[in-house]
This record gives sequence, structure tokens and C-alpha cells, in this order.
Amino acid sequence: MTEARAHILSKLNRAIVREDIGAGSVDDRIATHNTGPLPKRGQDPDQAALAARFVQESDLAGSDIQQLASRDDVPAVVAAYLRSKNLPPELRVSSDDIFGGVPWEGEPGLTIRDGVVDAADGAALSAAFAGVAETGTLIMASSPDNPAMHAFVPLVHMVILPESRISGNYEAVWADLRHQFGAQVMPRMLNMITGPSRTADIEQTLLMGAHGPQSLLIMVIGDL
Amino acid sequence: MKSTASQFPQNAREALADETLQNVLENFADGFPRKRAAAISRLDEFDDLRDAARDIKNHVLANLDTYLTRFEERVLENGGQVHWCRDAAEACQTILEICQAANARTVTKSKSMIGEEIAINDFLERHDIEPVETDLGEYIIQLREEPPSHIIAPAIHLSKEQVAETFVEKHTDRDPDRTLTEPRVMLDEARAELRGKFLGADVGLTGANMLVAETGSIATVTNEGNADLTMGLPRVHVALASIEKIVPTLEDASTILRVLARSATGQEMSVYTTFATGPKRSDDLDGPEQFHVVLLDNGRSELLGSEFQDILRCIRCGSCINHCPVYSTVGGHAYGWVYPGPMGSVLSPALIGLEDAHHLPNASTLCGKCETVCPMHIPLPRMLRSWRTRQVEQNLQAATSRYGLELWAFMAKRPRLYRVFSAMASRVLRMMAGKNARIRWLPLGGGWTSKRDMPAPQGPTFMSQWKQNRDRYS
Amino acid sequence: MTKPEQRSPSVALFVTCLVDVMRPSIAFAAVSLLERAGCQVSVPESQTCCGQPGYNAGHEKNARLIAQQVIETFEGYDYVVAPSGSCAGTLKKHYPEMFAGNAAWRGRAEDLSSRTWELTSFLTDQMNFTPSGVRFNHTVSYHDSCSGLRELGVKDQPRKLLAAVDGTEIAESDLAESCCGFGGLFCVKYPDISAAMVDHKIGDVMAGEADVVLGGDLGCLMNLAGRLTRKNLPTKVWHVAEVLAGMTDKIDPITGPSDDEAAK
Repeated sequence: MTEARAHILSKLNRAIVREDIGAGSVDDRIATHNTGPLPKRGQDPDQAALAARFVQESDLAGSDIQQLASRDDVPAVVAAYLRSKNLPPELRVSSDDIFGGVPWEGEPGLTIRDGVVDAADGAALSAAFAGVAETGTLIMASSPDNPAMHAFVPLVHMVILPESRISGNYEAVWADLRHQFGAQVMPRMLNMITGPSRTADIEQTLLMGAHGPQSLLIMVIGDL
Repeated sequence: MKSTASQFPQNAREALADETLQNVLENFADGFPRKRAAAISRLDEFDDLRDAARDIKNHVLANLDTYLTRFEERVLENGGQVHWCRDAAEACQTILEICQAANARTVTKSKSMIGEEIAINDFLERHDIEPVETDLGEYIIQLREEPPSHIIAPAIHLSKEQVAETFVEKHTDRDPDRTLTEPRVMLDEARAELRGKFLGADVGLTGANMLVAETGSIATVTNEGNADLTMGLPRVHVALASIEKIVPTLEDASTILRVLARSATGQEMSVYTTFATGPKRSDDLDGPEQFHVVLLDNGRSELLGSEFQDILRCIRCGSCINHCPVYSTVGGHAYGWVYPGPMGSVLSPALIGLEDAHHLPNASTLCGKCETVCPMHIPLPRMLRSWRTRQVEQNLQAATSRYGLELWAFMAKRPRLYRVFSAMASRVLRMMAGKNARIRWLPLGGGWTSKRDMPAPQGPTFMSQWKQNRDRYS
Repeated sequence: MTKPEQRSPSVALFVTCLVDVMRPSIAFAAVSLLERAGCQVSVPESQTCCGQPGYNAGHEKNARLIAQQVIETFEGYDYVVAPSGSCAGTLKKHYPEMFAGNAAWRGRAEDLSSRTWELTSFLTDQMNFTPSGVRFNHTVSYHDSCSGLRELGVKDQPRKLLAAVDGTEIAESDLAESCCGFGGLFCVKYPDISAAMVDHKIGDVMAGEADVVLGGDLGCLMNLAGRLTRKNLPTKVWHVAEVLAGMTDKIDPITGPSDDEAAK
């Protein structure tokens, strides 16, 4: 293995036509992480406009999206969504702090389970790290409080996204990520999710729910 | 997989005679290009992004050794392991050893073209480890024991009836008389079959669309979510990537993501883009205990610094394939190896040898459509021509075309001789034509007249007429 | 002293080897159009072929030798015009590439490149020419040849010129920009694929209103015409220059005389 490593690196070293200045320029580039061209779409004037664009783009991507005034509305929306998908009133919920203030007691028929999702779960609810208006993309950062598999194992995935966490573009989220996690540090899994799972592998027929969720409900919460 | 690239003409003839395939291809030729055009029309900055994406990869290629070591440092810091492999054999052996160390019996796989390139499935099977493809298209063709026919739509060559037949034949636990006519029902069946595999697998093997040097992350892009289940559920995650997949930062990854899905399927973004960084952390409730990155060279370092370096910018979006008039006529299997279409015809000769792949660079009209739709501005026609030049240099061209072209060049360099020859050719061709001024059969021109008439020359050559009467036809 | 814009520009016609042998009327049409547009037209005698067949087949050394001959032959003219997008593309785009490693010839190749035009784009973009008094009573489908379209940006120019022809309607094909499958040696090396490609195009034309296919490259047009007649289909094929020069009542289309005429 070390032999292969040395061999490959020396071949590269010999073959490279160096236009930049090697290691220095590499480390500079990583440290400065300049952005490329940023689309105008997503450069909206204020948070409300960004939220509106996020809603529009999520819808185009096939997500179901609801704008809620506060966390108080979550239980009823979740219960109704499960009914609309013919699923039992059961839900795996990640232990993110954001769920602390959700008044689940308002829907006594709803069974809430914590811990990590398993194959028997029909639906899971997790918290988004951010939303990106440009393409209606959710950014999920895995942690013990937000297991990544909640977004992939069940048939229905629901997400809470505070409106204040909607950014115009991905680059704004990376800046925020570095601020929160530190430079060059990543959550173990960082999932960018744009709509529910799909495939077009059989005669180009578009079908939702290939292996991941067939439905994705995004609840944008105005006031937290 | 074993290459049949040297039988390209015969493969193509079979493809042309395959009615089911031809029906599927007709549908194909319309779908992706229309969706791509629609997506791009929504993004004014698309061309700027293409330029930026090209520049990113050019910068990476100019510093590839440094970037790889930076990436490696980050992976190690995050508790992962990096395995450098020179060729397919080393990569297969490395993956096998990881699997054996984990006592693995089943390996789930998300679609990886590098996996096809090194034929990892066959290798694992030979060592009593069951590889299970999880991308729906790959799953279907694995059941059928066929290679993929497209790099992003591996089962694009099949009709839904063929898929249904395969499921009835292979899903033996199910009622053989069940109705399987709707793609939805077929998908649900595959989902159910694969659910158990995802949960029971010991090792998950994914590809990687990008390797982020800044963070030591591997990035995967899928629509199904299968890569995430593949890397998230088993105890061990192995990511298999070729060395040119590096991008410097998350910002650079973002630029490339903005052109990737739009060029591929015409989506704004693929549904799932995942950056995976190291194994499960101390308090994590899920995730693999081991995180391995297998870095594969397999001929790439030979391309660096050569006239084929630009193909190392390729991000495997499939846009050149989706827009190729030859591909949409014969499909992917005709090309005979892993990578079909224009990018394949440039890459395959480098990976399996020009002798075996000698047809591929010639199986193009050089119409140039591929270059116009390539998000990375890869000069594909120029490189197809460069392979032809290498063929001439290595004496790999068929004798008839070599001598024919030599003779042509000999004449073209001698205008007076050329005049005599062209006047003669004109006369002979006119003599061969019938009253309707068409030639039905041309000695040595069977390639033309087997399929078309040759319109006869209108009269004596222009150069001879021009000397006599400048005002002809006016 | 005459300022350049006051004298008529000198134009050297690059006939192209295919037009020279197979269809001289295209070159006569090109001369006629260029003269009507106010150019002084010459046909340099030592021209043969642009070298593209060899270049595309990987015979770079021969292609370079031919290119040097073309560069010398066409020195001194204000413009070099070819009734073909692919030959013009070779002179304009590929000659400078061929001499990438040779500064002296690279300069001369770039000079030729800067003076080289495809016929319809020269007439419109450079000479601002509009044909008048020309009639062609047909519905036409225009085939955008690959090199002209993608190397030189020839797309609107022939349509603009045809818009001034009386009686001509353009019925655009969805596949106007798709390759016809000619591809030089491609069509003889892979005749089955080439035929399937040209059949796609023909099928699309036949499904529409057009009774004539026009284009600006004889190679593609011979491919289309040869396949049409082989399949006994009635669609006729002309080079766009022949139509613009009002020449179509004097000569048969590329598809040949109709069977009635042939019987005479």
C-alpha cells in the first residue's frame, strides 16, 4: 500500500504541468475557500422573500411544504400528514432541542418515539440545519440528536426548518457551518436533500420513493 | 467486465436489429436533452458556472499530488483510512481484505462506475461474498447479468416488460402469476426485496462523485437515497474513487453541483447529495464503525500531462452520451465496455488499450454536439481525433483507409496531377451512373452504396468548366 | 488612394474538392452570389482539398502539408469563402490548431483563419447581402450541418437569405441540428449506423410539410439525397447556394432528375 502510494504520487509529480505554485497555493485556496459565480436566484432582498423562494423551489422539487406560525402547529400538521399517507399515528422523532417546545400532548393519538429509526418505522421527524432557497434544498447535519438515517429509512420523512435558517445559496450555509463547527470540520453526514427519493430507471418513468422516502414534508416555522 | 469493444460494428448491427432496444432509444433521445435545456433556461449563470467548474478541475489537476495528500490527511484526522491502489487488481484485493477482516458475507453497493471498471462484483463473488447492487437500474441489470448501458441510467436499454420478466424469474419467493405491468408495482417489489439487503449487509460499498480536500469528505449524488442507506447502515463503509475526483473546498463542490444534475437529468439538484466524513462518532446513534477510502489510479496518472488530460475533468454526468447521435442509434452495449458514448470513446482506449478499443474513437461523426453540452468544456471531438492520430502513429489503422488517405494526400499536394485525377474520376463516375444520374454500386465504395445511391457528378469538374466559361448557369 | 471600404473586396473562392468533382453548380452559384454582393471573385488554380479527410483520420502530418499549401495559395485576398461549413471550419478553426507548435506557420494560419468565411454567413454577416428577384416555390427543411453550426455559428444566416426568396416556406425540423450520419469516413466505415442516423432525419422531414431539404454542405446533402433516392422517397435536395442564385430551374437537384425526366 505504501509502495502504491509512493508510486502514484511520484507519477503524478512527474506528469503534472504545474501552473500554480504547488503546496502554498493549495493551502491558500483551501483556507480562503472563495466562492464561484453565485446565481441571482437566491439573492433575495430579505428573509421573507428567501422563504417564499424556498417554498416555491421545494414545491418544484416535489416536496410537500407548509409554513407554520410556530411549533405549536406541528403536532396537528404531522397527524394530518400521516393520515393523508394512510400511515398509523406513530412517529420517530430525533432529540434535537428544537422539538423540546413542541406540544405533542395536543395530539394524544400520536405515538412519539425517540432514538434511532428502524425498519418498522413508517415516518420520522428531524430538524434541518438549514434550507437553501436557490433550489429548495434542505441541509441536514448528522449528530447524536439528529441521526442521518431518519431521512432515508422510513417511507415518510418530515423536517422542521426555522424560517430564519433559510439561506440564499449553499455557500452561505458553508460559512455558517464553519462558524458553528470550526474550519475544515464537518458533521459526520451532511445531507443535501432536494425533494423525496425518486427513480426513472424503468423506461424513464418518474416514480417517487425508490429507496428513501416517498414523501417529504417540510414545515417552515416562522416564530421560534 | 470483459471488453467486446473490438467487435463494435457487429455489436452495433445487433443493436440496430433489436426492435425493443430501438423503441427504447427513440424515447431516450428525446427525454434527457429536453429536460436539460429546460433546467438551463432557468439559470442565467449556467455558462459562467461551466467556466468556473472547468477552472476548478484544471487547478486540481495541476496540483493533484498535493491535493490528494491534503485529502488523505483530513480522512486520517477524522478516523478514516485511505488505501492507494495502482490498478484494478490492487483495488479489488484491498476491498476484499477489508470485507474479510469484517467477516462480511454481504456487501451492498451503490452505483459506481469505478466498481464496473475494476469488476469488483465478479471478484467478490469469486471469494464467496455476495455483492448487491442497490441503485434500481443497477439492481435490474445485476439480476439479468448484464453490464450497464449508460453511466447514469444503467438499465436505459430495457423495456418495462423485460424488467417484469426478470423480476418474475429472479424473485422466486413471490407468486409467479402476479401481475407486473406497472413500473410503480415493479419499484415497490424491488424496494421490498432490497430493504432486507440494506439492513443485513456487513459492508457498504459506494462510489464518490467528489472528494473534498478541505474536509476529507466523500460526496455522493443520487436520486434514490441508496448511497446513503448503503453507507449508513452496515458496519463498514468503503468509498471507491479514482484520484481525479478531488475538489478543493465545499464552495468548489457547490459550483460543480450546480452544473452536474442540470447536465445529467435536467434536475436543479439531484435529490440526495451527501458529504460523508469519517466513521461513526462517539455518541452517534447510527453510522459505520469503519470508513475506508480506496483511491484508484488505474491509468489516470498516464493521462495527466498528455493530450488526453482534459478527460480527467469529467464528472460523469452523461450529458455527452445523452446528446450523442451515435449512442442514441446503437445504445451503450455496442461500445463493448464500461463507459459508452463520447466520454467513453475518449477514456476507454486509455484504460483497456487502443488496440482493443480501436473502433471507439472512430465511431463518431465528430458532430461536436458533445462538446457543446459538456459542463466541464471537455474537448471531446479533439481528443477522439488525437486517438486517431495515435492509431496512425502506432500503425493501428486499417490498410485500406491508410493507403487511400496517403494516396489522397499525395494528389492533394500536387495540384496539376490532382486536376488530371479529379477530371478522370468525374468521367468514370458519370459513366457508371444510370439515366437517373445515380450510382447504385461503387467498387471500393461499398460502404457508401450498400446503404445509399451515389449521386453522379453533374458534369466535368468545376475547375475545368470555370476555365472555359465563367458564366455557366447564369 | 482608395480606402479598402470603397473598392470591392477581393474574394478567393475555396471551391472544395467535393463540389469541384460532384457538383460544380454550387461553385458557380457561389461566384454569382458573391459578385452580386459586390465582390471581386477569383478562383485560385492551385487549390485542391482542405485536408480535412486526412486530419480527421489522424493523418496530421499530411494534413499540415496540405494546410501549408492552402495557406500559401490563399494569401493576399481580402477574404476566402467556401460553400461549405466543414471546409471553412477546417481553415478557420483547425489550421491554427495544427500549427500550435510552430510560431511562423501559426501566424500565417491565424491570418488565413481571420479571412475565412462560410458562404451564407459571409453574404449576410459581412456583406449584408439580400437576394432579390429569386423564386423557389417549395416548403423546405433546412439541415444545419454540424461543422458550420457548431464551429462557425451558421444557423440564422441561411434562413435570413431564404426569407428573401419568393415562394419559399421554411418548415423547421426538430432534428435540424442533428447529425445526418455523414461524418466523412464515418459513413463508409460504419454504414449501418450512418444509415440509421440519416433515416432519423429523413423520417422527421417526411413527417413534416417540407418537400425539399436544403443545406450548406455537399457531403451531408449527398448523404441525405443518396438515402432518399435509395428508398424511393420523393423529397428533393439542393444546396442553399443554388436556390439563392436562382439556378434551380436550370439543373437537377442532388437527388437527380425525376424518373419521368430520366426516362426521356
